[in-house]
Amino acid sequence: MAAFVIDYKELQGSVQLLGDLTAALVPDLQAGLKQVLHKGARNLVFDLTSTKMLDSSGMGLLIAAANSLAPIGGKVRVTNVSPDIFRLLQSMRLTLRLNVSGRAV
Amino acid sequence: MSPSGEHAAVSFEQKIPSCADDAESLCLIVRGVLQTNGLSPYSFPIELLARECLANAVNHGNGNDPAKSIVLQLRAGRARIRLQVTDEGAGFDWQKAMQKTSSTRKTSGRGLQLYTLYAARIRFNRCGNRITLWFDKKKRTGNGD
Repeated sequence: MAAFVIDYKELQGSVQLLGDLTAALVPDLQAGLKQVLHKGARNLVFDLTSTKMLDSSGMGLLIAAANSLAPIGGKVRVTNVSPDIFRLLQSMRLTLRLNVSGRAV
Repeated sequence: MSPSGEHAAVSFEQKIPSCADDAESLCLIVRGVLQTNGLSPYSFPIELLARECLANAVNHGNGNDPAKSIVLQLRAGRARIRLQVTDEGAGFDWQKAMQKTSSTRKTSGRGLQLYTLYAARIRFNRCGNRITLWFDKKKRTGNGD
């Protein structure tokens, strides 16, 4: 079973992660994202509510998505990240680039 | 106490074939070891360091050759946690690699940056096929809190 759900509606793709965003998931998720970008998505929202771990491969995927959307004026948003992941992305200077927001308390 | 200062209250070692699936399984085992031994507050950084070390060992060190092995050792004491990963590759010029930085547009090359972010001390053996990382429990994350 894929550990993510992708929806597409009105130029917006949304990706709900059902677990960690790490090297093990990246190939399958990349394939899914290619399809939604091919449909014409201009913006992508990644919901990390259920994600406890993000590694450098996962970060690479998020950056690749942002790089793909930038030429058409689109953006990536990464939402509901845990405090650990927020600090990690902050330390890697990626919170602005990826429009990262934390979980509501 | 060991020369590096950590009491071995927790000691774990596992050898795996050099393949991504085995590395992923080992990462989840490391998470379990940390959580069942009262080390949950350090679970995120230590598991992340293990993931990056194992990914480098599988992909770069052993060149995705499943005939080669990787050994991970984890030792935790009162003040520090030590993680060591050894592969069977020829090693690499770690001094040169550690000087590289990654822009916010680059999609790869952050593994070594993460070592310096979370580890209090990093040591490679001479040829670069063994890395030892020390994590200071008082410094929970790489940004000082």
